Formats: sequence, structure tokens, C-alpha cells
Amino acid sequence: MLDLLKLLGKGLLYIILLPLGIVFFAGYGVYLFVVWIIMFFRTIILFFKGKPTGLTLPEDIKALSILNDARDFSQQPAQPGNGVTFNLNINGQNVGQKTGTIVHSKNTDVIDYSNKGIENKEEDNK
Amino acid sequence: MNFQFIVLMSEKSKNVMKAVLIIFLIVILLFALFGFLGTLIEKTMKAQGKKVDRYMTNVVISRVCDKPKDFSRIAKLKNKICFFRASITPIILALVALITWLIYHTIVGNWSESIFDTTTGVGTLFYTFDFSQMFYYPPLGFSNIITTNTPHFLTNACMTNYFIFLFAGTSVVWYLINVQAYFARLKRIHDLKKSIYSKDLSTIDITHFYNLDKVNPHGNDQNKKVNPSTEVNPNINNNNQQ
Repeated sequence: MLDLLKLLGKGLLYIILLPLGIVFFAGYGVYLFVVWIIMFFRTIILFFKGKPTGLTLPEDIKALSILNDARDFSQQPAQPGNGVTFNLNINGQNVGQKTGTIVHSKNTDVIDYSNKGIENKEEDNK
Repeated sequence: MNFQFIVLMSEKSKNVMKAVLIIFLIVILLFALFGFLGTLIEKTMKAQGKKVDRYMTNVVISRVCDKPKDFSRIAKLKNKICFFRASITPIILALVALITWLIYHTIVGNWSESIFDTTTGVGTLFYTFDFSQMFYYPPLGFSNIITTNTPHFLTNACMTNYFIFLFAGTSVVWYLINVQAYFARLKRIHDLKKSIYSKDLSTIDITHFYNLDKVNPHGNDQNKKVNPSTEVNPNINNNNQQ
């Protein structure tokens, strides 16, 4: 009930402010058209000067270099999926383990465990 | 509640009451509709303003701009670039509409013809009414409203007006959405400028900065002592197991 009353109150407020809003919005639209024309010529000038015209400003390039310097590249990130051990369960009972590699495929059902680790594991079991 | 007074009311009073009720319902529905539309626009503007976060994150995190003034300058410039890029298509559409309008009127030669005309323009696609000879019967009765146009589609050269209207209408709506997005981003920049660089102590708990070991060196030992009210009696578990 309170939400409904709030909604109705907002509605009343918006109806009262609508004429002012339309005038403000129209004025802003005209102002932004002037801004657009200025930006159009600015972009053309920057383009022929060979400078970037997009959203990437010199500040962004500086920020990226700072962030890249802060990153630690001394350690190689571990390869995901190598040497993953699968627990094999049949009817809820654990019947053993196999080590393999997860292949990142579009088909999410594909798990490649044709790794040498499996053969070694089987030999160990023998 | 006693509604006997309704039975006692005259027919005219009943009609007036019905009219008042209908008008009241319409007003309430209008308020609700405007409230709903306003809320929808507010939510849209919030979503549009989030773009500022995307394009300013790196600059803020790397502390390239560590002053509100710098943040405002960079964000406003990017906002203008965003607006410029987003408005290229609607302005091209508007230019196409303008060129088509000029060519059409040059060929036809009738420069006073409006694209909204009810015989040659977009007005042919809508119902139009003549209210000049209308009669009003209180409280909510009207008569003698003449329908001057029923919707029909033009198939001659005048249908160019449809295309002009389509292109111009699309460009105006698109451009106004971009204006709204620009305004939403400007508001977001203003809010972020205040919140990122604020020196507001109201959210800070001063006790986090105390070195508690210096205040009370035996505090940890005291805390380690068992609190009798929360201690679990080991006998209870043993008894349960038995």
C-alpha cells in the first residue's frame, strides 16, 4: 500500500515537473548538438594529426602501463587442467582414481583422460 | 457502512457521482502510469550511468587521476566522446530525412505541404476527428464528433512523407536516448567524484586503528580464558554417547 502511494506521489511529481523537464531536455539536446558538431571537427583534426580519436586517452595508456608494471610476471601461471585426479565412483562406491587432462572443448561432456598418467597408474596397480 | 443515501439520490446526482468516480479513477491511473514510467526512466539512467565505471576504472585504480578535478575532466571528456560516437547514426538518419525532404519538395514544388498532412502525409495512417461541431452532454456525454480520416495507405509519390517521418522520427528518438544517456553519465560522474575522493569519517571505526596489545597486553590471554556461560560441558556429550 505504501509502495503504491509512493508510486502515485512520484507520478504526481513527474506530472508537475514534466513541462520543465521537457524544456530542460530540449535545451540540453540543442546544447549537445552544438557539442556534437565541435566534437566532429575535433575528431577530424585529431585524425589527420595521427592522434587517437577514441575513448583511449593518454591518461588511459599511462594507467595501463602502471597497472602492467604492478603485475608480477616472474611466475608462470599454472596450466589449468593438468594432472587432475578423477575419483571414479560406481553406485556410490569409490573404485579408484585416474589422473588425466581436462580438454577445454565446446562440448562440455568431453573429458580427455588419455594421459600417460592413467597408464602409469594402471601399471602401478598391476 | 450505510449506502441508503445512494438510493435516495436523484438521477442527476447519481450521474454526477459516477462522473466524479470515473474522473478520480482516471487521475489515479494517470498518476500510477507516470510514476511507473518515471521509475523505469530512473532505472534506465542508472544502467546507462554505469558506463562511467567501465571507462574510468583503470585511471582511478592506477591513481593517474588522484584529484576530483582530474577525474571530472577526464570523465567528462570521455562522456562527450561517448555521446559523439553514439549520435553519429541518428544524425546521419536525420540528414537522410532532410535530404529526402528537400528533394521531394523540390520535385513537387509545394513547400507548404506538411509531412503530417491528413491527405498527403503521415496523418493518413491515423484516425482524425473534427471537434468543431461537437455537443457536450453533462456529465460525460459527447456527440457530433466527425471522423475526417480513416487510416489508409498512400501508394503515390506522397508516400515519401512516410519515409521522411520514419527516418526523422527514429533519429529524434535515438538522439534523445543518447541525450538521456549523456545526462545519466554526467550524474554518475558527479556522484563518483563525491564518493571516490570523499573524506568522510562517518564510516570509519576508530577502534580498528588502535594497537590493542599496547592498550591491554594481557587482552589475548584474557580472551583465551573459557567463558563459563558459553563453555560446553564435555560430560554432556559423554552422557549422550553412553
